[in-house]
Amino acid sequence: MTSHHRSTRTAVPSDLIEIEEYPAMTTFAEPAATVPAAPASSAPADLLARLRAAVAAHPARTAVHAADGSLDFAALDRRTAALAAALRARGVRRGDKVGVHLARTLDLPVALLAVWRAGAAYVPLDPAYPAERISFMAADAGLAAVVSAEAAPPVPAGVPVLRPDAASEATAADADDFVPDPLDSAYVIYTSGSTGRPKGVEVPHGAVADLAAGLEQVGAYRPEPSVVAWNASVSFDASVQQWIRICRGDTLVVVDDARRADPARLAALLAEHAVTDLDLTPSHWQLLREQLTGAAVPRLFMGGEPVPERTWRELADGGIDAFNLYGPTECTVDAITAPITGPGPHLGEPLAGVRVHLLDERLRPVTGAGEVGELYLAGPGLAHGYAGQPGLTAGRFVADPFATAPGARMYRTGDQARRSAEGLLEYVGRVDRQVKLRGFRIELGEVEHALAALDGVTAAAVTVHEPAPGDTRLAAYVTGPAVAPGSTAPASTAPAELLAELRRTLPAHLVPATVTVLEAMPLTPNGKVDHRALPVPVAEAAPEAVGGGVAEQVAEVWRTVLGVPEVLPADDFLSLGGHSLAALRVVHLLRRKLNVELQLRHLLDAADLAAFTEAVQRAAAAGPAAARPALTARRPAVR
Amino acid sequence: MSNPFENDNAGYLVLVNDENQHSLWPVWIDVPAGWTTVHGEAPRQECLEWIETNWTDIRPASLVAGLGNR
Repeated sequence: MTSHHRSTRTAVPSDLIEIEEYPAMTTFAEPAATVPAAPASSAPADLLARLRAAVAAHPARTAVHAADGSLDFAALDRRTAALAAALRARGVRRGDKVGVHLARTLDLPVALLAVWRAGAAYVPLDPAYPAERISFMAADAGLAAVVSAEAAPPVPAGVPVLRPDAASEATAADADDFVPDPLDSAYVIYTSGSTGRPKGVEVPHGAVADLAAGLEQVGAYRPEPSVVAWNASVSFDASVQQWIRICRGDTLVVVDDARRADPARLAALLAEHAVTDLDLTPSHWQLLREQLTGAAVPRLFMGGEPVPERTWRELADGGIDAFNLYGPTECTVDAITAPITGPGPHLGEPLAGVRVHLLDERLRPVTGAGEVGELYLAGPGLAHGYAGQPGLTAGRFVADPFATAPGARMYRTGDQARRSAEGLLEYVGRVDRQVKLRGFRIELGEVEHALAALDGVTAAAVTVHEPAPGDTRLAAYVTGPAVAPGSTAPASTAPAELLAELRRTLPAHLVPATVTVLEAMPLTPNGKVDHRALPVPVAEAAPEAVGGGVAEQVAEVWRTVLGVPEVLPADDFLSLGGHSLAALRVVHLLRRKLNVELQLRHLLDAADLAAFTEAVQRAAAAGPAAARPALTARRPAVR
Repeated sequence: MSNPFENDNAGYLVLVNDENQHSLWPVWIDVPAGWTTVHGEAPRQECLEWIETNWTDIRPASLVAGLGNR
């Protein structure tokens, strides 16, 4: 089936790249059903029971593809049983928490399921995170054990560390299969905390089973066996609705970091495995869509940030099979969904069991069309709360005056919404200073706390800067003796040193793109930092015309895109805060400046600036680039 | 629009339900069914500190009881 995209466009700034009309796309052909649909049930079966049924029904079906191999359901069952038995042999019991410190390999789903089978809740510890952050989470969660491929992961002394292929003297059969109560904790996933302390959201098994059942009920999870890309990092809860598909008997394709960051390679992976379901942020889709021109587009699950109107219309008009998913981590991934059809973005309708309240400042329902209220969510999908943070929990998970069952709670999301005249629920914004950047949930207060904790910084403020539509970054501002004009350190190096310090404690998505040194913070009349009066970040203004050789031009592009005052030959793009959008910009800028045939993988495969520069020099020696069709991604072309 | 749970100059209660889950609650809004006041009226920060001291495991009481002393 093909159909043409709309050809009318809204005016955009002239520095955005765009093509006149998107080529046609095809939607994915639905695979023939080979197993009957899961029976509808009032109380959804727990996911371990569903996994056992899948193993029994089709042991030879592929359960997982990853860069390091594949597992069928029988092998998955054997490996998870063995690791679960090993965890139990090391003392892990029901109610415990177990850290999973693994890259995106076959071992990852094995470990998550093994933790569940041992009766515990998993706590993702991304090996790419700074050691300090991992050790904070490990201590905060009170881990009973850690599964890691490393001999000495950064976890507190005394916590047993097991390899993912660990087995015990006990046979797998001795690990009697754990049957979770709906209230048993399934995972703890950390999110940004406005006070500077990350919050561990503790979610029960019943909520996860409800999520799967709810998505099946609205038809987002199809009854027939699907091939599902696992795209989101296990550190974020969008990953839950992706990897738990394995428990339904679906086939999981683990997307490793290299493929995830390179749209061409991701598209190739989707084709190679005939992926039918792909979960991604709208920002990621903007990078990928060009690569899928003319290809089979999987069903898209879009979440993590609002779908822009333009993207919504493009998908709806193109007949692309896509769902919008809304929900905070505190309400188990997804609470409200809508098929992406119709005139424009809206949140949709609550999943089964979810109750949505739009309330005013006295907790009265907001009913008028267009009237803005705050979204409160209720139902069995609510998390237990923030592990080890009772005060914070009691302030966000509050008594529900609208529940039919007494004593129920509701979660106040901090999201503002309204009902349109047509009755559609529309996202409006935040009541606080939480932001979403490329799908990452960020409390600006957490970044400010981390900056203010550095030696010599007196005050810090962080805002979101958008130098071009869709290109959002964190911009930090500091004052203090270490950065003041007249300090011993040259003023130009102080921001770079502060950023280097931050990278030791914060995950990359929380590290600002720029740090601007101010004499004093602009204040509002009542003495608070006036965020709207902060200047445009200094490092943004890079000269367009740059002299010098290829090496200097490459370095200049890195400085511009990364927003840092200085780059060194040994600097690594990703650890300087580079992300996939930034990588695409670097490649695009250099193609234009140098007229070379350069691919994204040249940047992503390069260990550091020096290696990338060599790759660019080789590409330049190979001759000029062939004429390229314009990119469809709306990114700034020149700065 | 200000949120009723974020006013540092207002009075609050601490509510508890049968699962020993605690809720901060604005004193100017009726207490929902199934919840009992255990602290307050008091300033917001004092209520939060009381909760930190008196609610040590955020998991539902029936779950914690089932886990024994773990």
